[in-house]
Amino acid sequence: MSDQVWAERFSKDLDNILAGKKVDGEFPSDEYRQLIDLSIKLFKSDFSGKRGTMQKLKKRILSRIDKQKGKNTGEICEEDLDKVAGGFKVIITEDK
Amino acid sequence: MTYLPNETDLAIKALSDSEAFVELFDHYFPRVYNYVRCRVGKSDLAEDLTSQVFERIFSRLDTYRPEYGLFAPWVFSIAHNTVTDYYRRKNPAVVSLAAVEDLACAEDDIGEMVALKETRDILLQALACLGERDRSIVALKFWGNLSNRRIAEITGLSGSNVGVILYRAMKRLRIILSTQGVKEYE
Repeated sequence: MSDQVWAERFSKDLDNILAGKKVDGEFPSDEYRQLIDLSIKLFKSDFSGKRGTMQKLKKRILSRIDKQKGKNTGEICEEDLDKVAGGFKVIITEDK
Repeated sequence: MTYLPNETDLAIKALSDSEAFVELFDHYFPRVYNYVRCRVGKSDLAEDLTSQVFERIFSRLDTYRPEYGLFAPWVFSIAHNTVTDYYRRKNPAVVSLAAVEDLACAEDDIGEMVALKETRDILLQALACLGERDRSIVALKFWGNLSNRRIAEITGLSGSNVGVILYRAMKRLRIILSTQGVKEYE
């Protein structure tokens, strides 16, 4: 059989795996069974691993989004508030 | 779960409601990160690009039209374009090789189970050996969880082509793992 025919069968099996359904046990060859096993393994793989990565990125992204919002509304975001010289009026005088 | 039951409402609300955006982020982060990581290999680069993806998602939320399609394919078309833009700016061959070299030291969490880490590293190394187009289609399938038709729309290929490319890419991946000495694929 051509790759096209196998590819169609494989795509159907893959869509079942991704939908959390079982794949029919009758595999045409050992190689095909290994492809299904590998697909299940890939589908279950999570490379993000540590929860810390997600939290770190979430903080970074929300901060940037906050900045974007600030640009749109003219408001100063939380992060930039720290850099503001709150309450002091700075007067620069020239030496004469 | 592939789709959040209320994700269309969340997507509409997310522009003005941070909690809605955080809910979408929590749901999509692992999938988008895994998609990007599969394509670029290096963990620090994957973090930067994932960050860019979510910033783009946020800045374009007002252009999302639920009547034209589901939210997930929209998210992954942005992820796909973000990584593709990155490769356009860089020399893809250099990046892929660099990714392979860096994979061995890409993770440093000692507490993580060694076996799990080894499996992940082996898979990432094998994925890095695929061509950029194949890796992109594999990533859209497994972490985007998209149909071949949706992948075809994002990549500009035909649906049947996507099926054949995916099948051949998985066969190559199996052979790569076999040559790396992974017994279950020998």
